[in-house]
Amino acid sequence: MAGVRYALSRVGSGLLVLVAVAFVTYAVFYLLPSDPAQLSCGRPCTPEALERARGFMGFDEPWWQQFGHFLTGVVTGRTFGSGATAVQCAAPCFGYSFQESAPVASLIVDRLPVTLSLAVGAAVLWAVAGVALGVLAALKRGTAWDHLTSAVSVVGVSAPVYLLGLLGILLLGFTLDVVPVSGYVPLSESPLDWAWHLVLPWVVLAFINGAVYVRLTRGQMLEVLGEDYVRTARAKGLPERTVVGKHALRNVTLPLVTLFGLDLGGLLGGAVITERVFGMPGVGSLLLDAVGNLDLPLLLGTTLFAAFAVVAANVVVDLVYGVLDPRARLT
Amino acid sequence: MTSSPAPADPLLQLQDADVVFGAGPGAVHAVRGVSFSVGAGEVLAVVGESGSGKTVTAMSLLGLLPASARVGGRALLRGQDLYALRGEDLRAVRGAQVAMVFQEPMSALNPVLTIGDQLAEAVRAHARVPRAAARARALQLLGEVRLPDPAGKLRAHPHELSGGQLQRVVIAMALAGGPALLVADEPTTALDVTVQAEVLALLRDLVGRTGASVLLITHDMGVVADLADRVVVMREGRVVETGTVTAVLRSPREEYTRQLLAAVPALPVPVPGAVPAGEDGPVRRGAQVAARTDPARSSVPDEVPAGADVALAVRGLHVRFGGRLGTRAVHAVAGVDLHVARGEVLGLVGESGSGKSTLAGCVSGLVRRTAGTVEVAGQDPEGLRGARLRELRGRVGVVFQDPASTLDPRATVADSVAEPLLLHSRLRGGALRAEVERLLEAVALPGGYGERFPHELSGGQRQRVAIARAVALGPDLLVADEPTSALDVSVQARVLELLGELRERFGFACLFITHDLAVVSRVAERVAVMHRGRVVEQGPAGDVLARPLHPYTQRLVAAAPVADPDAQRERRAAWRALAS
Repeated sequence: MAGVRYALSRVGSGLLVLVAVAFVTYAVFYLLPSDPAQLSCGRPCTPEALERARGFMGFDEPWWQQFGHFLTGVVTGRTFGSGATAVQCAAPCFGYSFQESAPVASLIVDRLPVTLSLAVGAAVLWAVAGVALGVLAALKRGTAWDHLTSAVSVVGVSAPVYLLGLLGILLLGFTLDVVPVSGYVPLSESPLDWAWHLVLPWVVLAFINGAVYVRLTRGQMLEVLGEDYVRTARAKGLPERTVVGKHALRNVTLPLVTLFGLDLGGLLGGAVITERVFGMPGVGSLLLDAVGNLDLPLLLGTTLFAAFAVVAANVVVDLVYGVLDPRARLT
Repeated sequence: MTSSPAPADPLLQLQDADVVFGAGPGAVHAVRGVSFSVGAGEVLAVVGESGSGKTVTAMSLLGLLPASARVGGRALLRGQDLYALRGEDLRAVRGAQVAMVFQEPMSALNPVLTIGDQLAEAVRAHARVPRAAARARALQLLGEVRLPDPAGKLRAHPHELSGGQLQRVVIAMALAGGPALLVADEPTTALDVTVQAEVLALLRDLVGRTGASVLLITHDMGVVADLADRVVVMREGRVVETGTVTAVLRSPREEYTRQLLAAVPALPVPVPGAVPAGEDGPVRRGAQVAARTDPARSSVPDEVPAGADVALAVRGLHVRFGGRLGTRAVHAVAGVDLHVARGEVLGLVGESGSGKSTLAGCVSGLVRRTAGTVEVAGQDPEGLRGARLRELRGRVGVVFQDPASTLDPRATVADSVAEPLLLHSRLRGGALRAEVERLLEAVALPGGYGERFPHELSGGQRQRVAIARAVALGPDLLVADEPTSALDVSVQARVLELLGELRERFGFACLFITHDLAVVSRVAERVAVMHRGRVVEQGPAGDVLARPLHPYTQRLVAAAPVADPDAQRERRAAWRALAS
């Protein structure tokens, strides 16, 4: 009962945050000194044609009314214009890109598999490797292994993604020629090629994001190993692997779950730089295109999607946290 | 040294145990050649203050000391040297032959695993049994430690249980492997006195039923008298005295043992049924007033003697926490009246959750009240603002329980003591330094102590700094919230003595909050007993402690163990009669 209430309150507050983010995004983009109608009005652009384009796109209304239409469009869908030239945007409609002649939602959904493959694959890699290396460093505290892990993770924490990405492309792609350096192959086409093309971006992303996990895991593990309940676990005769793997590790992962959710959520919203470096047509490069073309509806849609990814990841983190730490359900 | 009646058939023989932490000049020699033995079915108590090496000795038996510890000597369990065991051999002993009960039940259990998980795991650590069978055994163990609703508790997480319940779980866990020796490290120190009595009764009962030997580590002579057959007194890593419980407690040979014994309260056995039934209103006997119902439905009235000069008056005080958005409200203080006359010490006694610290918070202005009034020297701090409020705050000094966390670790002792003077007085420069010096001398920390940092001081010295800071402005009222419960008994005695001297010198009144009846009998002129947010009894300290009227006060007094095995047996029976 308490668990259900906890879950509902988390999901509810997540939805509220999304509406607030949508509102702020709308307000900010409305202030941009650009007129989407101007871009699609054609040449020569007579004032009448411009006005027609504005009316067609819905840009002739005050911005807060536009926001209202946007919100209702999410639920009911929207129709731009009327008669033979009308453009349909089915629910859930997150806007319509007049430059791409497609609903924003479908544009994002088209690009999503790329970003999803990139982000989830890298996240799994860095979480597993980061925690494992961190635990090892803690258990072998003060040894050469510990110092080596520390040194390497400092590089990971401080190096920018484009530097490591380009270095990786140069070394593994061109000099050694072992992995492909760019492009994306859909999973449905060839799972092997899919993975093969993703290896380099996965490793680079995991190295950069995972370094923090190594350091955090090490510190947490050292702290937890000094806790009374670890001593109790040892005193009752449990093997050391159970003491570390069950009693200590569950408590070590608690703060990591929060961090992981934020990192993964951020990446799902589009790994802008990584996608550009490795030539991946994901949500991040869609966002870059939208900026380049001043495609306002698309820019709004991708920004909102990025916010959604972070908020959703946070809700999931809160729910998982409630499962992992029974004390969290109290609040 | 001492001739001790060593058991004929020892289960555990500790021979010249020696533990050193670290190496080189910074090495700490924690245990220095300790020898004793525990007979089969015997309860051996190891008594000592912090730093005596008693806990280190206990931990060494199961190889639970940190890696920096070097252990010498032998610990023979049925002829097998525990100190020589490593890896899998050591694991086979842990929990199965020697099991441990720890001091802090709140932190001894893993917060993210259920009670059932942790118990079943202990069962399966040494026996190849299926999960379901381990679960059934866990349920049975919870029944054996007499935990209410054992099936429900199996699914619960540690934070859902009280401290006493958790300690029962820890004991059940220790019993899971059917050990021959139970090492209990301060098993009741973290518990309230009435809960302590219950857990001690449980331990005594289990020892009788299972025939296990117990190595009891404690600082409390009352606990020793209650449970032990023989006693080993330790100090600074060495054995001071060994003997049967009667011999050591009745006729200690060593001065140090006598000192430890002096700290235990000498309390009479309360007579149950002292409350005449039938009438309405509170029960009175002289200046002593008690509530008639148990639990009390309202606090006893507080009568201020005519013409008394009152330093603190609390009237109809209520404090309620939470209660919004479907959370459960906690009525921490439910209508309390009390006063402290000028220059008087009122002892406020109660167990955890009784509301005594919340009340102290209201008096020092740190907790907002829901209703009622608090007047310090005739003024209510809640109605004051700005300079008037600051002025009034200067008239209340506060000393908290843990001196290690109430002093700024980056400030020197002199800076800490000077801070209230800088805020409230015009003293600066040389005059300020002289005043700080004078205050530090008053708490017996002269000379160079001002330049030291808190971590360079002992616990008792730190608390003396905190006291110097609290009395720096010459307050009308000193609020002392468990000021000595983090200290060793001998240190506690010195701090209490110092408080008495300072009171004579500065003439402040004192609201002294404690759970310890020995302390309250030593310092307080009057006593108020709190239970569930209400004052159930108040009156002159001697009367309330010697002839308690209210059933809760009687239980509290009877539950405090005394340092005499025969007297303690009598009290145990009285407590059992009162508690049932």
